[in-house]
Amino acid sequence: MTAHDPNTPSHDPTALPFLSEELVVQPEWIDFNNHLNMAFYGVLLDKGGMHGFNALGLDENYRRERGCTTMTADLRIRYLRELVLGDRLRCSFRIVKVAAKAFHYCQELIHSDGWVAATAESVNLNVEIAARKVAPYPADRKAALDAMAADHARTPVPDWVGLPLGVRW
Amino acid sequence: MSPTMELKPEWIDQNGHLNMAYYSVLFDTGLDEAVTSFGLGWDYTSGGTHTTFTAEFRIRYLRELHLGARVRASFRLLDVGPKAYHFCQELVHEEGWIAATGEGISLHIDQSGPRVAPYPDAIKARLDAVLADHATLPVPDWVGSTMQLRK
Repeated sequence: MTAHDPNTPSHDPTALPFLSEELVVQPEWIDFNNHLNMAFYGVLLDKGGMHGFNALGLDENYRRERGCTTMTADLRIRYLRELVLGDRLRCSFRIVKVAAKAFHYCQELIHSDGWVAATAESVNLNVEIAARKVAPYPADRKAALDAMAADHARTPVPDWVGLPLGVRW
Repeated sequence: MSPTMELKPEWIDQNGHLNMAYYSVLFDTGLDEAVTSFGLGWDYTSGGTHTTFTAEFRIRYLRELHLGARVRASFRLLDVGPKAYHFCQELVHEEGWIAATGEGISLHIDQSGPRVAPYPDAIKARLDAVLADHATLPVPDWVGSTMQLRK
């Protein structure tokens, strides 16, 4: 459990947890179990990672001016608690590791009451739009990634990062 | 293999391809036949006493999908416990290539908690029978791999 006030967003990437704006569970995301369908945790994590990508300069300007975009290569979600219609959340963003053409990051979906509803870890690729090929980050974006990674490295990587799946029940 | 599934226009993002989040919709929808064959389908869950929840899901995105693409989902059981099973899936494009792989843990849930609960005997027997059947095939090499950056 992340200990902090979930109602105080952090837009400072150096002050962990680095939190998104508030996200709200929408009616069309609710399934026959009357809770947030598993697929839509991915939507929350995608929207809830935007502040991280924007802070890194991996945003709409990047697409327009540099002809590059970002694509997810790998995503793993651990579903910890059910979410229901109207639940309010913020999403954390923490870099785990940076390489020349990709970075590994992790996220927590944190309910407004403070508990963690889900965790995710992802690998994100830098892609040249015209060639549709994975390519090295430009120097300024690589520097931004390295700087944020150094800031985030001041706190330990969550213990759930890097675990394989298995039946524990 | 599941029936053929198609993409919805609202699932396409600013990259002009299927947004990462909606691969999960295809994997989830593509589970229906397998889940129903175990006796864990709508006939079972609509009773309101028991259901299934996903505990974990991991997707490897291998190829982009564009509007108009038609895909099917495979299903393979990897392990069965008293209250949960481990499975993997491939999203296969109609041209034969694999767009993504999925690996998940499904829990059996007693709605009165809700809490994780043992499968009824008949369902556990079906899961075990399918597991024995699938065990004759090799486990895909991407199952159980931990996430990391390739240089």
